[in-house]
Amino acid sequence: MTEMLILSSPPRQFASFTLSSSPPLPSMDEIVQKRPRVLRTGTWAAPIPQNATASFTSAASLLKSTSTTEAISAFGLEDNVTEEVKPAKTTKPRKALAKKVEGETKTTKKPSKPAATEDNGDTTVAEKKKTKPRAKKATEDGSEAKEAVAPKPRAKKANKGTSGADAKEKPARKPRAKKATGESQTKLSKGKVIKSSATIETKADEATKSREVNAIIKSPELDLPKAIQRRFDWTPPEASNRSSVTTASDNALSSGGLLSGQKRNGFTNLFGSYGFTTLKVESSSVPTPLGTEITRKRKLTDLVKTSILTAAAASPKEKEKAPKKKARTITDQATSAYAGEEEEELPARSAPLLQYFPLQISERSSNDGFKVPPKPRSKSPVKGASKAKKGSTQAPILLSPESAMKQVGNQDFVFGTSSQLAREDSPTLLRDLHAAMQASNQDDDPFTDSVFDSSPPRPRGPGLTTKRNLWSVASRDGSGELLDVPMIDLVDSPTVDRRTPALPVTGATPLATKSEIWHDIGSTPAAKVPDPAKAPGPIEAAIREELLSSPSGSRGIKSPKISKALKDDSELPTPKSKTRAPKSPAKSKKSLNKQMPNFAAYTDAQLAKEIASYHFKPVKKRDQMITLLERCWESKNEAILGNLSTNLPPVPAKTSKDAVPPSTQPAKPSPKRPRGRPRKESTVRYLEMDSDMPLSQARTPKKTKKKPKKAVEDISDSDRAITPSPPRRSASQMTPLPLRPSTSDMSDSPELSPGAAQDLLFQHIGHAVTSAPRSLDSINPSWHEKILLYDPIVLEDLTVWLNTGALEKVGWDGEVDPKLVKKWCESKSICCLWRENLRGGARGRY
Amino acid sequence: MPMDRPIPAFYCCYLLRSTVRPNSVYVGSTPNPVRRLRQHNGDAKGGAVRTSRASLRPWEMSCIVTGFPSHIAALQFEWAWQNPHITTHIPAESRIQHAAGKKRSGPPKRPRHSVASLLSNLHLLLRVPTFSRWPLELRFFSEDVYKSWLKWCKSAAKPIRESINIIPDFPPLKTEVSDSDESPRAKKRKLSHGIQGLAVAYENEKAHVEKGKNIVDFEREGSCAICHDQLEHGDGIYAICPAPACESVTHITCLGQHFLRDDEDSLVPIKGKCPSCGTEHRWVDVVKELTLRMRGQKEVEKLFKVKRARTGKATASRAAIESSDEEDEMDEEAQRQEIEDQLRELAASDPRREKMVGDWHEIDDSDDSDTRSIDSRTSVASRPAGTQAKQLARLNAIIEDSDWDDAEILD
Repeated sequence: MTEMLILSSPPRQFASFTLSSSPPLPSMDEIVQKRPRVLRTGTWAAPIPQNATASFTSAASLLKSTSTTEAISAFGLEDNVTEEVKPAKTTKPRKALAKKVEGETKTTKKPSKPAATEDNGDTTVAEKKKTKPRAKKATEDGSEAKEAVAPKPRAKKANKGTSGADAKEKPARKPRAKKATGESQTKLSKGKVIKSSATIETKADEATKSREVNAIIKSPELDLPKAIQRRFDWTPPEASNRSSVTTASDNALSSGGLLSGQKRNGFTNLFGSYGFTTLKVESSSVPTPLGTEITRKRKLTDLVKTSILTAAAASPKEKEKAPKKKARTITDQATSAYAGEEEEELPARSAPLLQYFPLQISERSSNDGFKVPPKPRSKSPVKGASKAKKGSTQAPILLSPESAMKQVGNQDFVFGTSSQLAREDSPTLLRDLHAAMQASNQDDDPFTDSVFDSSPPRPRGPGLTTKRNLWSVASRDGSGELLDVPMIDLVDSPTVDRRTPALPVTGATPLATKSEIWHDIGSTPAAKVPDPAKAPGPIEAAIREELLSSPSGSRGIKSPKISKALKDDSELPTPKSKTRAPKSPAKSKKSLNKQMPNFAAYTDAQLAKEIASYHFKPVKKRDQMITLLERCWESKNEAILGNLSTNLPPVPAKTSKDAVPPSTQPAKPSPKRPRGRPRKESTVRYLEMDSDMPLSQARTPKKTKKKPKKAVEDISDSDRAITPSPPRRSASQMTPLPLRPSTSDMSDSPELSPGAAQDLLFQHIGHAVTSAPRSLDSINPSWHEKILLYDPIVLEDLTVWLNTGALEKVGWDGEVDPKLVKKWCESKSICCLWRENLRGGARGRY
Repeated sequence: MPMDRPIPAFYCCYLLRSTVRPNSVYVGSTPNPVRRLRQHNGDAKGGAVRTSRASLRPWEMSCIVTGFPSHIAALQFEWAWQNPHITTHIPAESRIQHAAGKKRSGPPKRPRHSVASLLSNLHLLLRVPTFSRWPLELRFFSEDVYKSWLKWCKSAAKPIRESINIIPDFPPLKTEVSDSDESPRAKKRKLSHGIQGLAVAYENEKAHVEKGKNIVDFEREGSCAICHDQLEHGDGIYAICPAPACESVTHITCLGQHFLRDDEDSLVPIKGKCPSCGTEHRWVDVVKELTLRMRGQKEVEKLFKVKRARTGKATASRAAIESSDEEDEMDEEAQRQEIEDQLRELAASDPRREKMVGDWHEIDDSDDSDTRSIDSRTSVASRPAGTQAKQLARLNAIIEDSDWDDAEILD
């Protein structure tokens, strides 16, 4: 096996060397200078020469297999390479990286090539140094070297003790001291370099190269068979393991040198290319004398792994590292355009290296992926600006102040955390998303809007168009053909009134329903366009009358504003109520008698009372109270109406929706929904709707019944606008309203003033206090006992106790404010106090 | 931070009135009215600056509110009484006195107090939920104040809780400190009038404490008289009936519920009947002994020690009063002993007002600076004992001044 490898490796070497020659070679003087040094270190130790002979033999065999001159040249090159690496370390980390990359490329190409592995070793060591804190590096290097030394023959140890260890230990200490004094890095790196050269060369390069060089020189004198014999004599069980280990990569050059340390070094170097930890493991595993067979097996498996991995694993590692080095902050990206020169310099340098390393290049390009937005962005100046933001290295174009101002004016700003901004592929996506959201929000889905949309009616223009489009899509039947349903402009055409009464009861026939739907949807937005100037027609007035006589009764004082709003949108319900009216006049009369009370006209106390009646905790701000009440009212009404008349819900929804604005906010041109809960709830509702869809689908007679699935898809995909179509809104669908539970709770305690709500809470607190178990310790009485003992109650403590389970146990869901606890205490004549006094000090004792 | 002391033997808020100018009034609080009055009158160090004007002296305590279950409670009440215009305990709709404008420094200005205004506010405070269930009593030491109180009671919107004892205690004759030490306390109270007749130590609880001690020491708790559960010794907080003959022991919670049978909403009992003997007791009397048992080891020791150690001498409170009244007459040795005792106590725990006896603790009563908040007061009270003890001798006047300075600033 070994022979085979030995034979096979040299040509690879050669190839690799041609590659490695690409970086500028140091002068021959340098090489000459350095070689003696290497030799010296090698020769210092007496036993080494003996080893060397062994290695020489291998070298000889190698040389025999190939031409000696080639080998020599190869060695020279190889040395050059290693020499080169060293200066790279000292000068710039990047160069070293580049070298490393180079080395990697070599390994990837020729995994069995020893020079490459050695290079790897060097570079990885350099890497180690770079990545780890220096103090550690020094020590680690030292330890590493020692570890490496340990298994080696004593002679080597001695060698290291003289040459390497001294060199190593000195730098190991020196850097620390120098760091403290704050000396320049060059010295440190020098130290490192010394170390690296010392350690590495003593480990591998030294041993292999020097001896091999020697071998090359002496090669003609050596006879191969002898050497092999010696080698077998020489090698302890360990060595044999090594030989098997090194076969693939090391053997080519260093297999001849059976020195365990040497091989190990080669192997560790090889392994080092995968990362420092593995190397460490390797080196640490070495000193423990292992059973030959076991190790052999293991090593063999390792070998298999490594031989494969050298090619495969090395590159991923690089991949990981490359982005780290190039780690790009948002700031970097943002400023990249202005730091163009530096940026450009770097790629220029690394370009040749990258060529050798296609993977990294690809990685880079992917890194740059967000530089160049994947989507071609259409809109002009914004694009450029945000592009720059995203970190493109686009050349900055100097604009005239005016045009710059213009651009700024046109610019969209995307706000978000850096991660958000970085994640989003393109600003257009964001914008589109936003637009889509707006559009979808504008679609009047009574489910959403009525209850949760606190925002005032929005301009219906864009919403309308989108809806139309969506509906025109939806108007196709399963086979993709247009349903021949005429679109009717309900607002303008007088046919509406005539038509709608003629329409049969919803859900009676599928076709009718369809058209009904059309009416609803089509008309809704149109009708919703706020036109305060419009006077209500007679029908509308009638409907309004109906609306106002809902069973639950209008609560508040009607403000003219609200009634106006009602008027405005009362057009909408016209057709529907028309259809409804003949069907069940009494019912609708009842149900329609609902109008949102003008909460804005309420006093604060009244508002608080109302809120309490909805089982909400007291709200402080008046505006919030009003909006909350409106929502509550809407949801309640919707629920009731939904129960009463399946088809009608949109009516109250609209009224309420339009009734909201006068009290809350003026109409905004750009409706931005509040970011928080409402939307969440609404989404929940959509989900509910969706989940209900199949059911409703089954219930709603559809023309294309063959493909219900598709229909469902349509509904879920296209738009929510579909969902509100009257026939689908059955009472069952209306019920799962988020606010429903509270209204149902209402039945238990119909009228709860804020005081009553507080009383309820107080009852719970009292119950919590009294129901808590007695304490068994007279030093720590329970709260009830403390109260009975007239102990001043520390409010913070009691509140914490209440909020950490005590209230939950008695069925109160929620937390209490310490101030409320104080109120409770005072209402009960319990002496209480704050632990913290007004001056910020905490009371330690009573 | 568990409560570490028993319900004080005595704590009162008092309405001080100048005998010279009856419109000059002052509200303060003290665990020892006799000593405090001496301070106000300049007979002892540590009076409030507000009462330091010679033209207004002597002062008299025309009316006191007693029975505060803790010094914190007393201080809270005192502050509320002093600042009826801003206290949150009085709901806005029933507030009688409102701020008289604003001070230059910002806070609302306190309206000028008079006997009538203070009485009306006292009436109000005794009605507000915060204080209505406290075990308070009212004592009137001057007839005209009592009359104006009665007058106000008639015109007030609502009566105060019936169970609040209102005790007129007018001196039929010139008050004199009785020297008869052997006479029992009850008898003494009858003999003496006014603040001198007040029991400011635990002597009234002595029998109860003794009984309780007996029961607990010999682990005769038995079972709860209400829930009939076995009362494991030391495994809970048990109340013992104050009636001398009754040995019923109950869970404190059981008895509390028993006392509150007719008043489910409340948590603080006022009074009730013992489930065993049927005698009616005030809750505070039940609990006072309990807290003494639980936390008042020192007080109990003192209560019994005094009797044993100083047979033939005054009881604790008596001694306290006398020591302050007749300090010059006290022999050196006794005084030294007192001081040592006090120092020991001060070192052991932070100073307690009810235990402060003699001129050493006059500083403690500088708490009467009427404008300070309760918090600040209590923080003063919880000042490390050592420093206070050090300051006591030398810095009394200075501290008093500084207190007043504070008050001025806050005012």
